[in-house]
Amino acid sequence: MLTLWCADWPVRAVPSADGVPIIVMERHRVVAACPLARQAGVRVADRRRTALRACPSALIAERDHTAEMRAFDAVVSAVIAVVPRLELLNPGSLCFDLRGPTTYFGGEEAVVERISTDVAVAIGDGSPIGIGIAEGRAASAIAAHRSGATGEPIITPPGETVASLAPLSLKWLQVVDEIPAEVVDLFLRLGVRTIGDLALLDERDVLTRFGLVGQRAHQIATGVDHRPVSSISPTQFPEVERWFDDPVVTMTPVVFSSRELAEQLVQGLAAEGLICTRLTVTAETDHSERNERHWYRAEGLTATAIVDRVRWQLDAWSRDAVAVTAGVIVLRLTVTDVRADDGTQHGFWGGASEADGRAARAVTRLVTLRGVEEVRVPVAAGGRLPEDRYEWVAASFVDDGERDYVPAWPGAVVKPAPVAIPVVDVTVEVVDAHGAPVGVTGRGEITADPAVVVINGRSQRVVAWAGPWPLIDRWWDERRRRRLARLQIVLEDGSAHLLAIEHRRWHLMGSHA
Amino acid sequence: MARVRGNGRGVSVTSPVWPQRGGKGKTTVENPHSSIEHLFDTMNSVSVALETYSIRPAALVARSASVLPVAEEMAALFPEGGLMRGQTVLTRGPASRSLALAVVARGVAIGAWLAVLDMPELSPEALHEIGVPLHRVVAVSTGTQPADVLAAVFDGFEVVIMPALLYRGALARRVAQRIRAKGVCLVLVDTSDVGAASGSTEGIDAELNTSEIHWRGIGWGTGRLMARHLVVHRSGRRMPRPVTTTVQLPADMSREDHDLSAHESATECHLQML
Repeated sequence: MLTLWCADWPVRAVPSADGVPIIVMERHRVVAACPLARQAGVRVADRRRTALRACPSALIAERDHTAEMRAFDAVVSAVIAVVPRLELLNPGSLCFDLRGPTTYFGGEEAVVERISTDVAVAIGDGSPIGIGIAEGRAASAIAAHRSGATGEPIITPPGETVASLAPLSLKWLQVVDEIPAEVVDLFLRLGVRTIGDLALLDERDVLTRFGLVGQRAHQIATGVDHRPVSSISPTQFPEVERWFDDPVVTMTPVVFSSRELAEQLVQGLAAEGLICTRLTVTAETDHSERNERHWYRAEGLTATAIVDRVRWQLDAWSRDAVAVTAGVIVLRLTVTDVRADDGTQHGFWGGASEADGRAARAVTRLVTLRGVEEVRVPVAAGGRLPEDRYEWVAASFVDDGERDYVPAWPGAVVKPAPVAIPVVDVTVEVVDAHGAPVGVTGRGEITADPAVVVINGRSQRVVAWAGPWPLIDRWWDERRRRRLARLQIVLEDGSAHLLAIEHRRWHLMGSHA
Repeated sequence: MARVRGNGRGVSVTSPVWPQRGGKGKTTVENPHSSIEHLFDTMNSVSVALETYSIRPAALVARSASVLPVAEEMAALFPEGGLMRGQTVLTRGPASRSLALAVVARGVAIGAWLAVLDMPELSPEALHEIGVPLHRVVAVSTGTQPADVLAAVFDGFEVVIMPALLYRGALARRVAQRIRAKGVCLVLVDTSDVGAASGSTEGIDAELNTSEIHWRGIGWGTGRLMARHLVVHRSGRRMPRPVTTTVQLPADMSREDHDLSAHESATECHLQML
């Protein structure tokens, strides 16, 4: 089994100038960084702040799976030319069974040679490619990740897979997405540090204490990886398809209809207690052009995950003007491998309620009506100013239940928070009893008591005020540093506002309206 | 594509199931309505408490319940005890947004979903502070085809907040029927700061007007904003006698809090850093 893994693939999807370090973030954590940024000390899973402290000049980009897959399509095409049947794991990595290709090319080294040359041409910038050969998915994925650091392929001789895994840290099982982080952490805290340590334990003991996940880890450690890559098409698995009466030229409705298919598929399997782990997505156009990709995901493909993969695949395909000359007439999802559902137990207080389901469907509908960017959900971001503490993020990019609350930072104005934060810059005039403008000195003192405030041309008397509270934020960052002083005022109609003076001009920061 | 969904308004469960007092059947429950209301109240408070610890209850209040509960201090404004499903409420005055959030907070806290239309200025932080779980909040802009967007929103969300300016004329008449059919609680916010300037009250069941706002905790150059007392005046076509009551927003800022922190500056610790 051979796994190909391109290090830091998310970085490649970001268009950039030479010499600028790039950091890719997802859900406020670093998921990938270019070599320049990593040399500066940026690590995966850092928060934005930590990453920028290490590498202040970096360009920060949000992760874009679709763009990654689009970029990865060149690599996939290069490998498919050599090995027709391969499985995509996620953008940046794929795997295939070696038995056929080895016989054809005459040895594993020959296959590796051919693949690495072709892929290097497809990528074109000479960055290292990780190629790992071992018995079993997990073992070859680990080998590929290790090889990605050096660029030298790692070929484990037959029968030595277990021995080669033994000295490695258990963390590797988490890195290749096989075992959840909390289980790995538990093993480490119990003193099981390497994969070899785990292999020494009795399988029954591991199963009784750590359940099916533990057993799975043990199977990887002892080389009993029961998920071979299949090169033949099994037929007993379900398949769903949708024919379009008129060829569909834009991909959005095709992706939208895939949600219905995916839910149908997943529900059908769930009724039999199964989870889909491998899936083939096929799309055909009116001109009989065909695009077929196989997808694998160890933890199982949910309906959302299936839709994502359809979107990635079709997006990459539809940009190829040579390959696609007509509208799509059929979309087909074929399950090619399943495993028993280990039974993710829903919490006692219920997972999704009926209302949650209806809202989720409405969100999908609204996204198609208005576009991804116009349907937003609040996500805690952290900061000292009302406008920084939360941001509205496109709903499609946020996983349900991940919008946690971040406590107020020191230096933020304490609750109650202003209800309305102006979207456009609103300039405010603050004058004292004699009509002279009020300012704040460099030492944070107000020059005169504010008497009248003009907001949006409407002039009102001040009945109460508090402040000023100076704030110097991000003083180390030339572009984003801010130096301002905040003031709370209550006007005669009872409305209260948070004002700030910055560069000698007053702005409206928020209104308690 | 076919969408499978239950009847939007649901079926009225409570009344037929419980025996009528004085009916021919043997009445075992003396006052069934009070006891089931009590049960709902208990469940509601349990689920609000759970939300505080980020435990998500399955929607305890079934969609069949015709009233979405409101916080205790707001209850005086609603003779039905809460927001009636299928009705439209308008909030006006200098605290219209805060009042709208206070009205819907409890309903969202116990399982309803909230859609915010065309109000990009609304602060998630304020939503959080008033007790709205942010994982059930979605903001949408209506764009050039508001009728389609509104139809989709009313299909999926039980509570909807939108500017009063948007909901008027032909559009309001087009979607009013859908609001009743789906049992949506629509809260319109008069966002014009001047107040009492915009629009007719056509299709609006209740109007909440805020006035006489008194902020506590802030002085002349001292203290900070803590909470405000405001007089809310409710009128509407179902209300022969208007109701006037005093509400504190935010409600959880108790008197002790005021005394304790009256002398502390809002950003004292940061000032020391400087």
